[in-house]
Amino acid sequence: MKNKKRVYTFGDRKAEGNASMKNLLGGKGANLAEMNLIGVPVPPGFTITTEVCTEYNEIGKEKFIELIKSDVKSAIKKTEKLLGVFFGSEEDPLLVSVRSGARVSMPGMMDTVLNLGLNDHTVEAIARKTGNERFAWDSYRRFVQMYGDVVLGMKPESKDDIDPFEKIMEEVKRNNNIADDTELSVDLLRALVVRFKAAVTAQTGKKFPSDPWEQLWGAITAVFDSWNTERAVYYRKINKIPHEWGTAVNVQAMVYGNMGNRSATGVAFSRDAATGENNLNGEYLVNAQGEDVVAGVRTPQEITLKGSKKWAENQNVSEKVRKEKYPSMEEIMPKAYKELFDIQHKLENHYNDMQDIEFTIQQGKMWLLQTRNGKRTGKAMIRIAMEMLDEKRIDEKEVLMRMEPEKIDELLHPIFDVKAMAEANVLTRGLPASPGAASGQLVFFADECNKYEKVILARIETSPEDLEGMNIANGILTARGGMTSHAAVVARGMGKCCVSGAGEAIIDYKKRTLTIGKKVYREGTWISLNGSTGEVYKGEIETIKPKVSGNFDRLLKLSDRYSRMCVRTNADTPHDSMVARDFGAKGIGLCRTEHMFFEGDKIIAMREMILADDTDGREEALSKLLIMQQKDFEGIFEAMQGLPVTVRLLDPPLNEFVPHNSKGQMEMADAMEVSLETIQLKVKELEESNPMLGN
Amino acid sequence: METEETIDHLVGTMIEIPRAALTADAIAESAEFFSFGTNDLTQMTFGYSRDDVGKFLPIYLDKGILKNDPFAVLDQEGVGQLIKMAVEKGRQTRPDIKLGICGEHGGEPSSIDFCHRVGLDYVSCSPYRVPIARLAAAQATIREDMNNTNLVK
Repeated sequence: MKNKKRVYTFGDRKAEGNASMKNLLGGKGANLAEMNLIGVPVPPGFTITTEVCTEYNEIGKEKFIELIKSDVKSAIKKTEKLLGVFFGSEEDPLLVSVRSGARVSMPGMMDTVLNLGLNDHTVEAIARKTGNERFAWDSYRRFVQMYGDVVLGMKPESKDDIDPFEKIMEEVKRNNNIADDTELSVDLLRALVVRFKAAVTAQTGKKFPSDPWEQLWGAITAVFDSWNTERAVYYRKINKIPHEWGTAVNVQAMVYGNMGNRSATGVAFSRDAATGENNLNGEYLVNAQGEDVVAGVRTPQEITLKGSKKWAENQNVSEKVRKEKYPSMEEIMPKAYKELFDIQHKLENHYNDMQDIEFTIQQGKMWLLQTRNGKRTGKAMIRIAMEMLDEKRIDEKEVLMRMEPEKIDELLHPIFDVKAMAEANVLTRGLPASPGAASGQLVFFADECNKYEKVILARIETSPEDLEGMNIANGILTARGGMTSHAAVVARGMGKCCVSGAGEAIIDYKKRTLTIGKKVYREGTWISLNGSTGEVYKGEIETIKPKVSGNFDRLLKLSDRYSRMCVRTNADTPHDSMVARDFGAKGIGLCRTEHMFFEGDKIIAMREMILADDTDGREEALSKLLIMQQKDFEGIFEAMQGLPVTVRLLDPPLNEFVPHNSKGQMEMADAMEVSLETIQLKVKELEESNPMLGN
Repeated sequence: METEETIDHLVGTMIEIPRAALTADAIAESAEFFSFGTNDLTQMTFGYSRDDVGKFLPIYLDKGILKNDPFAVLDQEGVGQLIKMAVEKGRQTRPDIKLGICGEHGGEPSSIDFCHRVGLDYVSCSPYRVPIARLAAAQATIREDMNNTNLVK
């Protein structure tokens, strides 16, 4: 046990791990190592393995720290050496981020701590070194808040409770007539740190830890603990991720996207995660930290000029305003844009799959924080794989093995009927965050998604707590947040229709209303979303079933060339047979004749047969049935065009064909021209004490 | 209307109770195909009433007593073994017997993989699952090929 390698370092184009070690290092850790190996700039740091997570759960915090202390200390030393800064130093302090990273990505489900290593002394050193006192104190106040929430358990448990830090923030802003966080002065930030710490002591009875090592152990164990939070457990359940996998922990030197106007942070996809189209896309914010982009607090801007123009059109923003207020990264940071473009290209060539990238530009220097195979819709999954086949990057077997069969289901989801959509009333537009068509009644809280049979969940923005409701809802609408917001990413992963960042929509949680212009829509109002165009409609819109065509058709034909078994369908009617043929069924594996007998006139003939006392009577009734049944079979055989049809001979649960209430029995007696007693006697005769088992 | 035309057809049976699987060799003497009705076969093998399962299955799943709903994901250890046995016995008696599955499981990817491995000729599922089944059947073939190659190495 003692000699087991528990910590893997990386930095400056070297790494102890690599991309094949996802089980041990988690997806994030393995890719951070790999990026170093292929020469992509990554802030140095180290990964604590997923196996350690299991050990931690077995032996507890104290013993765990003993076990791992020397490994972590030497890993920190390596990072210090690479950067020339030192953990806890009052001259040149090293600050780190502590993040989770399981084998497969679980976006937003587990905890993160940023800016770790700050205290009353190191904050002054950071202020001196950057010449930016405000930045240093803003980072410190963010750290105390984040550490308090994540590690010290200050985060409120229910949506009705108020975050104690937010409460203090609101108060300070109100007293000083400040609307935006960015207007807080250095003095106010200093005061905030003091009040935040006092709030920690008041609630937990302990002082906020100022020793960076104590902070680090706290953060590492908190990230391990977050593997078992309710929302993480639920996420694993719906995504079928085993609970015993555990998470790795990544500790990395901090880089800052909020060090002024030459700094920025963003998220990019090497291809379109919604449609699969081959173009770089994503969002960024100048002078911001990573969480600001994903959380949907500020309106993120598009990375490419093309994307920016499309965004402006969707949001009804004029070209003049777009250029002034929301310019693309391609326009205002051309050098960084070029660098990002080359890196995403390099990463895609290396991994041969669409990449989801997080980056930070610190005073003009590009750093990659993460790359992973991007989550995508079923449609994008197919298009990307088929195009990569055409580009000769992957072979046919790889295309097929990359497919997640359940995601195919999304392509069979209903789409809006074109005619009905043309007549529908467009209320507003947002971003086409996740394709699909959904109608439902408005609800405003994730835990109320059961309120109606079909709901549209409308939120200002979503958070990981909303996951369960998002899964139940037919569609998701958010007022804020872009294409990479929590709502958008999660919805695409679920294959759920989502319109995000509908800027004209004003959502009032207290009144439970959605206001667009002067119109107010209350909870329970029917609305419809088109996740492919971003349009929001009034009322319910008729849907139709989609057809198999294009890349989808190519993929299925490719499948048939490789499979040994063939696929048939279970169909009892000509209509079902036609549908299955269109989807490529090679015959019928089960056609149940008894289902035919429940319809219309057929049940009467069936009952005559049941009531018949002798063979002659039965045959007479059956001859009536024959004519009716023949028509059904003709339709089925026609649809199947000579393909095999397996017909199950009549296996009738006789008691299901007779009425069990007196009204029905009286009607049957009249129709059959027999006495009620005869019917009741027959029903009694057919009664089964254990109908589940054979008769 | 009677005509002189004859239509090629096979006469076979569904295998949906455990006894049918156990005596498949004898049944195959007269049956030219088997179609596994895994909904009922699961019900009878587990002794779970399909119509009442909603009352207790969520608890079983929550407590980890069952890993999956056996009516959605074929129970390979139990029900699957009955299928495997019936396939072997059926082929013993009648080497060219046609074998397929027509329960809900015929459209579920991990169950389709199992059907491929035990050597069924086809899976049959509801119309809207057909595209998923086509893909899953291809994956099952490729997966088996890859495993065989690894074994040779």
